[in-house]
Amino acid sequence: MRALRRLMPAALAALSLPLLAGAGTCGIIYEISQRALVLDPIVRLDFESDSGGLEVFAFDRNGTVVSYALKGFDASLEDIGHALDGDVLRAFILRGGPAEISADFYFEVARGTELTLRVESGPVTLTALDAPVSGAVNEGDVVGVALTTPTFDLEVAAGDVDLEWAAPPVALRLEVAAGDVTLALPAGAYRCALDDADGAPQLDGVTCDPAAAGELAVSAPGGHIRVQGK
Amino acid sequence: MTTNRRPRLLPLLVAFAALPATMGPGRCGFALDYTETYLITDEIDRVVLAIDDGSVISTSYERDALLLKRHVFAFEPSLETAEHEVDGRDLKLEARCKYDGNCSFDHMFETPPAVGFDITLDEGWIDLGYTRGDIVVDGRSVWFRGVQLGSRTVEVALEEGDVDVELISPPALVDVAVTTGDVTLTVPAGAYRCDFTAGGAVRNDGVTCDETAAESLRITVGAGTITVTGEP
Repeated sequence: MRALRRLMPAALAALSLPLLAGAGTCGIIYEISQRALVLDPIVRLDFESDSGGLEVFAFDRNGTVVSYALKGFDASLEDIGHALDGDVLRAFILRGGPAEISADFYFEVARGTELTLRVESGPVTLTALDAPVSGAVNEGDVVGVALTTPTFDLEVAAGDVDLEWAAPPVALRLEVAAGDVTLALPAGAYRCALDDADGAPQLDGVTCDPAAAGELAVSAPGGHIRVQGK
Repeated sequence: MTTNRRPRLLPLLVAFAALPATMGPGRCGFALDYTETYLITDEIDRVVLAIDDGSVISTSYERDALLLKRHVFAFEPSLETAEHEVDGRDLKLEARCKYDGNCSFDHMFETPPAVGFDITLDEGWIDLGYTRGDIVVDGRSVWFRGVQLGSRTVEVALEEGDVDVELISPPALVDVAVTTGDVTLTVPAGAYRCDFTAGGAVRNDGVTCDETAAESLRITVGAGTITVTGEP
């Protein structure tokens, strides 16, 4: 009986360990990276992430590189991976619990590859994409470099957006609830629908003309819009 | 008391002593699990691989250097060698295991477009895409797939496994010999010298067989089927 009493604190401490550590933290901890090569030609990359960043680089190549760094608790990981559905490549990390789990994905895609994305939290970097991009980011900054995508349609709940186009977009539509928008576009005229927090978007080198071919529709009610023509 | 304890421990000791035997030879000690990535900047015409078990996947496009990534899993006592060297204009790789099934060697390449492959593989799979270089494969139990190849010569010899080859330009020679497995070949439509022999069905859709043609398609299958398609 006395021995039992002595063991009681240790037993209680052991039993309370999961509570101290937090739910979903028992079991395997990942800190791994993967790199896969998909040979089949694809027309679109569909990306879905509950946690972690996205980076996509398009250049003259064949096949697609799918790479990710995963860290966090296995108990909170529902699924991660990629799958080919015809000529669409799906890649995903899905959360299945409350504990920390995230994956930063990196893709190398062939030119002409479209992108749809849903990113819950994490930065997004897009380099040299030349095919339509659409999707939503809940939380995270978005950076685009040397883009030539004809259409770009993105909703961002919270995060700054900084995009640079190497060729005039046909339709650029952004809805950024909380964050600043900075655009660098080929100088010229665009059909503008710009709306920011103080109602005074800053334009330099870009003119607004209802008859212009390219559309520029940016809404940033919680931030400022700056458009630079180059 | 002492006399009773020994018989009780005996089964445990026997089980412990038998562990190496139940695990198989070469499995005691460390398990190795590592990945190497190299950028080969030498001019390479051909990749020559000799592997026991594992895989090869490669894509080709205009680039200046060859990227090699190799993942090795092996029980340390079983690993014989996992090496590579540049020999002239050949990139030579060898990966050997002392005991069957105790190692696997997975290779990923990104090469300039004209790099060819000469692969000997005991068990595993090979996916080659987009290369214009010649391909030679010699395997025992191997699945082979070629995606949008521009190779002039493709020679594949397997004991068992399926072969699925897609050529986007007319080859000078396709020579496939499989003891057990199905062969699927897609080539640009046109005239070829055909030699198709199979234990199962032979289907030809879009390829004109002409004894005087310059290009040759030779497929021999023991137990399995042949499907040849000529793409317009």
